[in-house]
Amino acid sequence: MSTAEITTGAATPPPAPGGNRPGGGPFGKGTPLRRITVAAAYLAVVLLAWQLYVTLADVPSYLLPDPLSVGDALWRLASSGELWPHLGYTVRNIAVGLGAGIVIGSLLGWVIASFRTVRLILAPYVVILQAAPKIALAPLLVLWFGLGLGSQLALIVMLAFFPMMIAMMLGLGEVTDDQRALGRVLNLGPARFFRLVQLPTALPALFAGARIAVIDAMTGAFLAEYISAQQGLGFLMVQGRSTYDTPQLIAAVVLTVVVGLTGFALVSLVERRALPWRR
Amino acid sequence: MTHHTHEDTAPPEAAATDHRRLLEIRGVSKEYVSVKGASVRALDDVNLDIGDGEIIAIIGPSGCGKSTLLRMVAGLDTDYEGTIEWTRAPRPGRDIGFVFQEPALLPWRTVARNVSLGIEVQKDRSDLPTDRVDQLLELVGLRDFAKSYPKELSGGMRQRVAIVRALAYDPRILLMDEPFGALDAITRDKLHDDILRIWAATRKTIVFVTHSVEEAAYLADRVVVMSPRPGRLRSVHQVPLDRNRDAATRQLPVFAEFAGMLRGELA
Repeated sequence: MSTAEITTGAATPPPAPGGNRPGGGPFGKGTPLRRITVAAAYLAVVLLAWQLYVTLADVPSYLLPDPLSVGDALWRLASSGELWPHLGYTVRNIAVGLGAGIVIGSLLGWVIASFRTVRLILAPYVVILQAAPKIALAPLLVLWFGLGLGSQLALIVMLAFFPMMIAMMLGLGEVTDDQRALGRVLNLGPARFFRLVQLPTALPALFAGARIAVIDAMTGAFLAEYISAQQGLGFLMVQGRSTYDTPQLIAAVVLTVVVGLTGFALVSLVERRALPWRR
Repeated sequence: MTHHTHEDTAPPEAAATDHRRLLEIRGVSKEYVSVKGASVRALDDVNLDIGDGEIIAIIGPSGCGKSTLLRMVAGLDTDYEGTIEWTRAPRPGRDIGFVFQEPALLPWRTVARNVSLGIEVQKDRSDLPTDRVDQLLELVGLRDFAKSYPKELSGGMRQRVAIVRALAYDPRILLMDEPFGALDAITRDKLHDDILRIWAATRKTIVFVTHSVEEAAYLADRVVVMSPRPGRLRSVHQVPLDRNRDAATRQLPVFAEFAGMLRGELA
């Protein structure tokens, strides 16, 4: 029934077999071919407008380079091989920090949701910590954890754990009294009840949290690199800025967006696989 | 399973007296402290015997403690005075089947996997046939929906799944807390016949709570009428009908008379 819903209004004749999911992607409804075409056309229009503006208004390259020179900078970074260690470094940091943030956030959320005492002691401070601007805290983290990887990962984890913690708390709250009573009638112990009822109930919320956490982890990674690192996409930005190589700066920003979108898409993909019952 | 053969012709009185006792509720009272700090007596000196294979309906106005009583029997509420004594103590997770007012299905499990939940979590249920789930789904006409998710089902279908989920692990007693309260009249009637069919196939002891006197009269062997605040047993009535019931039963004068009498007791 879900396929019928989304193929309506699709002009392209051969409807994709099966693989079509409702609400897929940010580019609305339609067959994959149509969606890709629309997305590409949209991108082309934006790039063209950018190019036209730069050319017609005669904007100097150090203020805003045209798309072609950004592409050129991208190509230069990629073909010289300079890009890959930086990209790898950032992606690895995001992955590690996000992984740790997901584990820590989920655990913390579970503890806070499950134990009243912990909630009373911990919850206010966690929220206060989260309300504090991270940019202001970043230099402090550098003082605490040094200039290297430590402070960078700390910042990423600090940003990524929060949405996961909130998601777990909200998700566990979705368990109904009836489900709890059912668990008791079936004599499920706490561990089994968690595995069979609580965790699956919280899973949709956890995925929603993970989507936010991915983006937050990315922000954390760039912030950290911007402040202290000698490597990474954030470092490429700093380098581009300090050498007035604006095309490189923009190229690094474009790569950032690509990394972020990829992370977001990966979470959505896993979510679709993991929650077939929500389709 | 004592009277397989003469069940169809059993006179009404036989229903209660024939049954071996399954459990005995003696002097059960419950008091709780309300939000305002006042002490409220929810149940007062409730005494009731429940026989093996009996169907008992508990009716009464809202707040008379009938759901509380049911939860006590299920072991979900252990804070009370008095005793609930079983002839054989129920094994945890195995002898109580409970149906809630809402189906309370696990939405990430298919219909079949919802039904099999209670079997899965027990150690060894090789005593149950391997196609147990299919048989039960067949019994309530949902075999074609075994692989569907709960959200693809109507409210009545979901409640059917909830009922067979409670039966799947072959509990000794089936407890139902206003199981049909949220359904429309037509769906309700269908589920009543499902219950009768299930009883005919399994001879389970069934205790259910309801607001509907017709429901009580149509399904039960005995009807327990409760009075409100504090919840007491006002009376226990033998239903003057044999176990052979169908749509025509509702047209019988004796049915209407009995239901009317119950309604009078509730007023």
